[in-house]
Amino acid sequence: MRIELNINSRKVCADIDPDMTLQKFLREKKYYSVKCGCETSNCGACSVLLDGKPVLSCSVLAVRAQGYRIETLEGLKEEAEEIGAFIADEGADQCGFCNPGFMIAAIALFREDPEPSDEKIRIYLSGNLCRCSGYEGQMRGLIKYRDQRRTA
Amino acid sequence: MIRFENYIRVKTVKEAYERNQSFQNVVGGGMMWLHLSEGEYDTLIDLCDLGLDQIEEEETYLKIGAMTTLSQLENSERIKEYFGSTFEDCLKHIVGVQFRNSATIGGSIVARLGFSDIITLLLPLETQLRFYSQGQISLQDYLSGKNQRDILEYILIPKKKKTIRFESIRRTYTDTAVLNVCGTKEEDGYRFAVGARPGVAILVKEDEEVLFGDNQRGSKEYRKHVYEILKKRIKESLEEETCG
Repeated sequence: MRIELNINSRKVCADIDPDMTLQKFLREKKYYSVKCGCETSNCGACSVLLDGKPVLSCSVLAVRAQGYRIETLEGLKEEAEEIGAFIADEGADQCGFCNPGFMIAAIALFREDPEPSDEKIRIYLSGNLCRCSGYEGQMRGLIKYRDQRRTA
Repeated sequence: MIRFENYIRVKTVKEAYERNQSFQNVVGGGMMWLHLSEGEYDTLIDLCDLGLDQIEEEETYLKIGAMTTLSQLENSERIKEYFGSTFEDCLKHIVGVQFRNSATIGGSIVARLGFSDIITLLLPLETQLRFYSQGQISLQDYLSGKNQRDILEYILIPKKKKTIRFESIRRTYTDTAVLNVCGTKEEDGYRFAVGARPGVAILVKEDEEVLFGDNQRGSKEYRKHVYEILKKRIKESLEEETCG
């Protein structure tokens, strides 16, 4: 079936199978920041923004995403670079596979609440799994990012 | 992963109901669990255009559309007004924000998932379900009944400002519960909803026996032991609330 999606403010049209997930569609269209992780709605590596809200693209049908504004990390470079620098400085960016998912969740969090508490950061990132770092690095990075924005 | 040949966004609940009478079709809610199934279907019936994603206040109950996401419930000021932070406390353990932005209350109920936290939370609140064909039935009756291939439209929660407490035990913060319990104090004593037994949640009086089972998350004996502890915590918390 024919679909038309709005990805990073660009119209993308394609003929797809109705049961194709948004994650597979985005990867086929070369949005490689969208990772193929667990594919069971658990790891957060495939996170994208749908009308500004983070969702798991492995669990959203591409056809259902019609009419929504889809944002991947490719369309969020400025915010991603800013937050990413803080995460990297804390040594949390190791193999890097989970990083785009963490960045999407962090961007959504800071858009929703510019000064989140430590607890809120922890809750917001709890849907993103990382097999290298133990999460403390990401936490330190985001706390420092928040504190730097306060003083800026 | 689920497979289907056709996809349709229905325009009315009647259309969804009629199409759902064929065993070759399936209804999609949030699809968080459904997409993991191995089923092969002719058509996926999508309810996303039916406007069933609102939390409204009627005279005697809160009326929640079946397509309302768990995040909407978690952040609703209207729900907080009646039930404090209990919904938030319960829902924050479910996988992650991304998951809760898609998973729906209707999908959680209709699937009668044994490990569901939301079913356990809704049982002591005397929740009613409004279906397109069979009309209004209690959540408790629905859980013990047969699948009617009906369409769940609304979840109705009486506006009683009930004090409830939800407790669960998990191996990790966002894992599915080994056991979840939600309690409230009625005039004739406590009521507890017990879920992840691992069977679907049931509502019991304080001294009523609960049947537990084994699965990879915990044994029958462990659950029985943990149930007594969670019950005690809930009772103490409810007593504190009552005593001010």
